[in-house]
Amino acid sequence: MKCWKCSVLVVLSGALALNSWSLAAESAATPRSIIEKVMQDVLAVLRDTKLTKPEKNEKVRSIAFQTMDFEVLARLALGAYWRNLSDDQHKEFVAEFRKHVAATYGHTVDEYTDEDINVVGDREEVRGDWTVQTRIMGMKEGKKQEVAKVDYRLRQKDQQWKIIDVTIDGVSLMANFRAQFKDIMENGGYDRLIKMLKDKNADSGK
Amino acid sequence: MRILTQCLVCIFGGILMIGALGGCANDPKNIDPWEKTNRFFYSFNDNLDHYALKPLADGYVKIIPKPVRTCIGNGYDNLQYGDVILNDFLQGQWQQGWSDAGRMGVNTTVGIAGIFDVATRWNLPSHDNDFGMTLGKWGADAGPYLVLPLFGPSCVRDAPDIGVGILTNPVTWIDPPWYVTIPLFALQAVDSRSRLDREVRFRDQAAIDPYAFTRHAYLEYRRAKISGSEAPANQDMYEDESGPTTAPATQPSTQPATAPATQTQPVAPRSPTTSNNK
Repeated sequence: MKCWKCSVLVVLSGALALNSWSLAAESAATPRSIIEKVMQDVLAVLRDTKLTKPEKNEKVRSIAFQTMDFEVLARLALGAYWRNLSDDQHKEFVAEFRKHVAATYGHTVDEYTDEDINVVGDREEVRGDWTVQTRIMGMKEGKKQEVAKVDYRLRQKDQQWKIIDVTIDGVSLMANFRAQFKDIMENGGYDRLIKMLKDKNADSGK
Repeated sequence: MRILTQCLVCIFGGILMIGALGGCANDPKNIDPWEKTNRFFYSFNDNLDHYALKPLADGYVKIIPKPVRTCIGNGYDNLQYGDVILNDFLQGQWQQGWSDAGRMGVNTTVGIAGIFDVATRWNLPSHDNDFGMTLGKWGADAGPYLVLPLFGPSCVRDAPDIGVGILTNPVTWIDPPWYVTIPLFALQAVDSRSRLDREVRFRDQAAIDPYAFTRHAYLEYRRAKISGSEAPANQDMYEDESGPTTAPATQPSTQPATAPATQTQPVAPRSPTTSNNK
């Protein structure tokens, strides 16, 4: 009898412990909380006066790499063209694409002038993705004014939420790439696209 | 009076075109039926920017101190604010309309012809509005995408705002001689270009195909502004991951209700040359 109660207690407490651990893990890892943390981390880097611009660039880039799912983003941006490419081409494309996005958004770090970023809402999308809404606030004539609306769309893969799209003032990053890639794929195909990406990355490297 | 006639022709011509083209505007393949001409003007604007506008804007930034440039920018913004006020009222936004009228009044008087933006401190913040948004809210589709020489990305719905902007600008009614208006306009172009430098550099870095980038960002930005929604219109584009059957021709532009066109980032219709990003 004693053993039975013990084992029940052990099992129960184990279950409770597991549950609260996973609950804690879950509540810590909601899409909204992830974006809040990313924003805090990025702002901390941008406001750190002890870092040089290249160092800030590097740090923000590594935060972005951890939180964004470039493969999904690249796949969605290519749309139906993805299926007609080989695995090698997939790898090559994702690598170049990631370099390009990192270079582009790395440079926006250079433009930072003490704006604030506030997370203002989140909502679930039909597919199970989540959209987290943020606002960039800047000062104008002594008054805080909204500079831009930035929405992040996150998708869960292997229990982890990652950003698969960023929408600024209604313009989706992924859709914009998609529009560009469609144009290029129809006029030159994959070879032209990968060449343009590589050339672009070579230029940004200078 | 000549200006008045030209503006009215521009505005009504634009509206007629929207009416006539309203049908084909809904065809997703037709967001850019005049692509060849548009690409020509895009190139033209690019060269104009590279060889004339950007060097002038850089010189302007170098020579004129920031506070003076801010005053100049404020002055021009104020002169054009009549357009915002008119369209606030046309859209039935009474509160915003009165606030904006107050803003223009305060800045013109206390702010000395608008060069000091006093109104923002008095809780009369600046708003964005134009005739393209009015037409959009009244139900007009974007119509074919347009790249206008000097003015940059636009569309049939948004282009008439240029005429409205001229009509609501007090300088038009003062009707100064050409040797005043041309320098005034040139300075405005240079000042606007200097304020947009960050956005132009972003486009130069981000875009792999600048023409397609600008077109998409402009049209999407306008769609979001007019509909008031910040979400991308086409949610289907997020579906491809499981490898379904979307045909390659799917441009993320087939929205049932709103304008089919997609365009670059924030563009003020009257800003000069290529992409006007915010």
